[in-house]
Amino acid sequence: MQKQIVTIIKRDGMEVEFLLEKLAVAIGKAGMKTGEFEAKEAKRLAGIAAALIEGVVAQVEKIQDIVEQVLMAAGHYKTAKAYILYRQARSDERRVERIIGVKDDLDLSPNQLKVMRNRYLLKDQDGKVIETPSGLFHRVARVLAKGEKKQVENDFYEVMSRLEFLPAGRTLNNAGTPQSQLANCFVLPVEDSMEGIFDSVKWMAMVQQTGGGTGFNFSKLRPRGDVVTKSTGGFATGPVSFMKVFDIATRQVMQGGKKRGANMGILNVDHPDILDFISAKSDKGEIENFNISVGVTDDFMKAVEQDKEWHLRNQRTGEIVQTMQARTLMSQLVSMAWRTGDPGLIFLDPINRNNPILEKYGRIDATNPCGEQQLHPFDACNLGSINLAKLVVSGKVDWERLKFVVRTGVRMLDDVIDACKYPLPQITETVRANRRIGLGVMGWADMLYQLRIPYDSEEGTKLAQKVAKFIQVESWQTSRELAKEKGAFPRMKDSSFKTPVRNVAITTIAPTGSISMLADASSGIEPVFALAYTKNVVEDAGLSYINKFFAQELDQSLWADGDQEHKVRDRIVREVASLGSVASVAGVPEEVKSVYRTAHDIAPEWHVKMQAAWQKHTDNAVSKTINFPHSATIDDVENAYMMAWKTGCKGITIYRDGQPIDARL
Amino acid sequence: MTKPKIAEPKLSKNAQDVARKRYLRTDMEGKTIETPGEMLWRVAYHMAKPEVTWGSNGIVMEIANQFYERMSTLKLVCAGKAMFEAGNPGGTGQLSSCFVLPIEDSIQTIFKTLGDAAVVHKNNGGTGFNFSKIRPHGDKVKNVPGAASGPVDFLRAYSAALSQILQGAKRQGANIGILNANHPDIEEFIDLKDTDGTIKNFNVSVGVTDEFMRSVEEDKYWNLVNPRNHEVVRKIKARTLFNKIAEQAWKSGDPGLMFLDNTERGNTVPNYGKLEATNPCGEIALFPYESCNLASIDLARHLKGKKIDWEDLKKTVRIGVRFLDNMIEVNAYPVPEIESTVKNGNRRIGLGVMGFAHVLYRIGIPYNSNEAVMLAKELSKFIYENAAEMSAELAELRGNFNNWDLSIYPAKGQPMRNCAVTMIAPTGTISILADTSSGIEPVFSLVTKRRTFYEDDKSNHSTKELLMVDPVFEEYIGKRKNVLEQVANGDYSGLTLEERKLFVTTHQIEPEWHVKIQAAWQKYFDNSISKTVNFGHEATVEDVKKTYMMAWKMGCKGVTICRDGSKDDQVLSSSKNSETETPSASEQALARYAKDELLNAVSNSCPECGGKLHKQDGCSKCIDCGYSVCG
Repeated sequence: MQKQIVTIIKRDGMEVEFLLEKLAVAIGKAGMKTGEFEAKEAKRLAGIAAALIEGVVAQVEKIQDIVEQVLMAAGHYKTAKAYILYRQARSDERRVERIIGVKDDLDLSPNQLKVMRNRYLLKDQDGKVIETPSGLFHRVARVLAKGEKKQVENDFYEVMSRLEFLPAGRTLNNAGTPQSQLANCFVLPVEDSMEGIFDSVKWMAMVQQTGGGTGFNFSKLRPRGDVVTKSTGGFATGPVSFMKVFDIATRQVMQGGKKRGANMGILNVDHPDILDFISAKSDKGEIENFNISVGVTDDFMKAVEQDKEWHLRNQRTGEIVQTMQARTLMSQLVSMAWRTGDPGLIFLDPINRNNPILEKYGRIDATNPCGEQQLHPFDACNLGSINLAKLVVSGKVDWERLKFVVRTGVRMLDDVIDACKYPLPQITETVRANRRIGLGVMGWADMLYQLRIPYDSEEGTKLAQKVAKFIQVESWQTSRELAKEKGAFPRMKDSSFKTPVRNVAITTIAPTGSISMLADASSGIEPVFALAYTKNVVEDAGLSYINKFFAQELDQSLWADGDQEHKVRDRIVREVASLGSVASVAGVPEEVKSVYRTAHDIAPEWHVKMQAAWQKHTDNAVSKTINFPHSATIDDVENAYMMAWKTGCKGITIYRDGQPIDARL
Repeated sequence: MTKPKIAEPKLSKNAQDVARKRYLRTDMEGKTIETPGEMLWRVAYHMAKPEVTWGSNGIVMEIANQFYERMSTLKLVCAGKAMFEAGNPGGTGQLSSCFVLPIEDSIQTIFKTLGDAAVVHKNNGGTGFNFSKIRPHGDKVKNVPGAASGPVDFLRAYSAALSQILQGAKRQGANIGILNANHPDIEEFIDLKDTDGTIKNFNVSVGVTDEFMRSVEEDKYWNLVNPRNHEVVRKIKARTLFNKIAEQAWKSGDPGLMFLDNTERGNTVPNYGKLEATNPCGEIALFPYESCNLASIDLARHLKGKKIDWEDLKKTVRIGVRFLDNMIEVNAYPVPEIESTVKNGNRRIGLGVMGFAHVLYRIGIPYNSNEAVMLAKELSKFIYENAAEMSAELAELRGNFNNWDLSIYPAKGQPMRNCAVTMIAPTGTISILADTSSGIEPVFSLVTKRRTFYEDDKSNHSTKELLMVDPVFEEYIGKRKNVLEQVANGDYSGLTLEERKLFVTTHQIEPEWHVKIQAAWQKYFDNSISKTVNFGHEATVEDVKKTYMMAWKMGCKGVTICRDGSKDDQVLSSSKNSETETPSASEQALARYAKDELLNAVSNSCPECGGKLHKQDGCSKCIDCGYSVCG
């Protein structure tokens, strides 16, 4: 009789002792899953398999091959198939884990793992990943829930690990590390003096060094050509020249960072240099680290509507420097935006109608780089987003769960304020006094897919209002409770609030950038930009991405089945991948087309309507891009700008197809 | 005493032009509202005001008169900026032009200093920086390897930022950037101005130690050291680096050299700090946040026949020191740190000279002779000793400078009002006002065309040429006017051999004589000597290297060379120089087009993985690697 096997060589080359019981347990699990047999039969099969192994040493793969044969020979076909599929899947996973270098303990897709690895997981000095995805969420939950009850930490972990709520990338990255700057958005003041301006440059550099984005309103700076000192010959070079200085400084700081610098530069529409400002980005590469927006008032928009004159004033002297038709200015602005995407608009009056500390702390005149967070100088905001895609159960919004996620999210973001180390003392002071947070959403388009509601429909905008209102109501309820538990925000006494609240503002719709990729959700409240596309990364050569909800639709629909020879599904995927959209693909029912809308299937006015719908019940602003086809006219853009103002938006950013992406960050 | 009847100084035509364009007060329409004499009285009176602190009634007027007498006779001329600003209600009150500012290895201080520099520039000043404390390019930042911007990157940023703004300034401010020879980025730094033509507002200089120069001599290896952790990053042949410096300097005049150890040996406040940088106006070594109040004595106006009038010179020196010490009091400082370093710290002043070459012409000593070197030493010793004595006398009454305890003077038992008193500063425009030769420089050309900058031209281009015949030469030639014509065309045949030997000009003087004269003045002067060592166009890199070695060995604190024709923007140019070519419009358009194409190619791709960027949320992100601008 030949010798029994004693040693297994594992995949990594390690040798371990062969144990018959272990093999029996493994086979038993497979059998139990299919229901074909139980432990006793498993033990018998393991014995047979062991006997069939030749030699005293065997590779683990070889043993598994034999187990497959034994299962089939014993007539356990179902189990054999499951076992084969399981081996296949495990081998894929191992391959992915090997490529990505991340141990997947949360059942994430390869894409999600890659984002995890590239952006969020802690690495050692050599760049080796030293935590798992669940380890990441445990770290963040532990750090943020410091001083809270254990249950709070568990709740934090639960909503994050289920990808129902994610704090901003900065928080995921830095919580519990020496670099504990967790906030994203900052606004800094710019005063009309050389000292003041360069203080701002310095502050900006310090904020950006910690990864924050910064916004500025340059309107206090005296216009170009204005008097500086009484000595003759000297003249001011104006806000645009100083923006270039800020830009240069950002470029230097960012050389050391992972990202391009994000700045928002704002100039009010009555500043004498407004025309220079509007065209500041018309040359490629000029102030490339800036988004620019014109701060407009209701007066200006009315003057445009009524074709009235508009005055440009020197802020220093109050003098009217120039008078022009408001429409002339607007059309200059719009045509530049049509060409380059810049400038956007910021509606200063709606912003300040919703400013609870207006009386004591004055008007807000600037926002963060993406426009959703209007802030007083030295204020900052940390962000987090609820993943609506995860909050649909059997075709309905899971309001109960949403409520839990909102409440957990508000508490978590409020805790971020205390866990965060801010780069400047003035910022620490302002942030702790206001306790402004930015609770937003992502996966809105995914939610609409699951609910089968078209993005560009009244039903869609109605639901948007309903969800936004629900989130707003619940979050303020939470803030009131937090105020009872931990105290109201310090500037409460100077605010227009009647009952104590913990935060000066809560809800926002922020860009969800990389965290929506981590959550595998559609970005913010944006429509999906493509249902399928081919990726161009070497390691995934030829692999195409397909939206998971659309894939399910195809899998479940008879119209996509076809037969062996005519694989309708494959053709549709191919066409969708090349077009990005399903709108003009043959053989797809109209109802399906109306549900699976992508950014470019949606008319600009529906983009604006959706933005306005969310804005209606959002404390801060809504960050959204209004997409235009390349063929859009200047008038189309102007109409969108006017509509945004009339529907109560706080700002507008457009993007016309074919513009260089960098024209706007 | 009362205000004197204004005795108008005798000014040449050129001097009047310069005074009107630069120093005289104007109304809002640019119309001149004072005469040169009124201007000088304004300055003299303003500088005398602080006397009330220490003196009795009437002292201000008395001292103002003393100042005015020296100034109106052009024996003492203060720095041009002070002439415009002092007592001028329309000015900034900032009387000093040039400053050294600190650079530390942190984003916060780098940008704070940038702000300070902008304030200095706004007031028409210039700034010098030593960037050597900044960690090298690609060093790690907070454990992120390869992330750091290096000194050259920051110099570029400074250059770009400071060139954007002209907030009330009349022209772009001058800057000097220094990097020490042991910094790992030194090679990139040396090549900087050659590789990046956009950096026009910075001169660069390399800081070298004795050890470096000896390593060059002995052909040793030289360590490049990371300033963050003092680790040796790389070794390189000292000669390789030295050659590189000399080659670039030969090509473009940049970089200059700063001899750190020679400078440090002349540091009179060694326990206060190290002198590691110079200002851009003449490369005078200063501490961070230091500037220098300047005035220059016209030596050519201190002659009695063919002899130095030592008594009169002594008087001017003493008045000059008092003038400058007062100037510290009335000066407005752009940032508080400068005020505490200058006024309440070291009270460094720079009493200098001009007209040295004219003295030599009149006395009959060729510039390139041992007699000239001897005279330079005699003059510098005399001026220094009298200036130091005056400063000591002022200290008895007014008190020592605050950092006196940290200085070399306690050991000598010497009271001092100022940490250092004498200096040769560049005298470019004020030497025109005094119609005398510049600083200790030889006469540039017996017949010179000088371009001047006029503020009424916003493009900052030179708009006017002044044709000048050297006044001493002109006087000497007398009626032989035809000789002037000949000399203008480079024909010296009208002069005797003796005359030719005496009336040497810059390019006829061998570089070693430039160095010897510089070293002679440096021997007794406590601050730096601003001087350019001129080379003919045909000079070789070897010549440059020899000069560097010599300057170091002779104890110079620095050396700036200029090879004829090597700098495009030389302020001075001989009349034979042709206009510099500018690229045609079509060439410029082509270059712009190429740049746009390049930008276009990269602008839609992810900066990290090169994937396509997609745009959402007013933000773009890469679907391949997850890069996102916003979060």
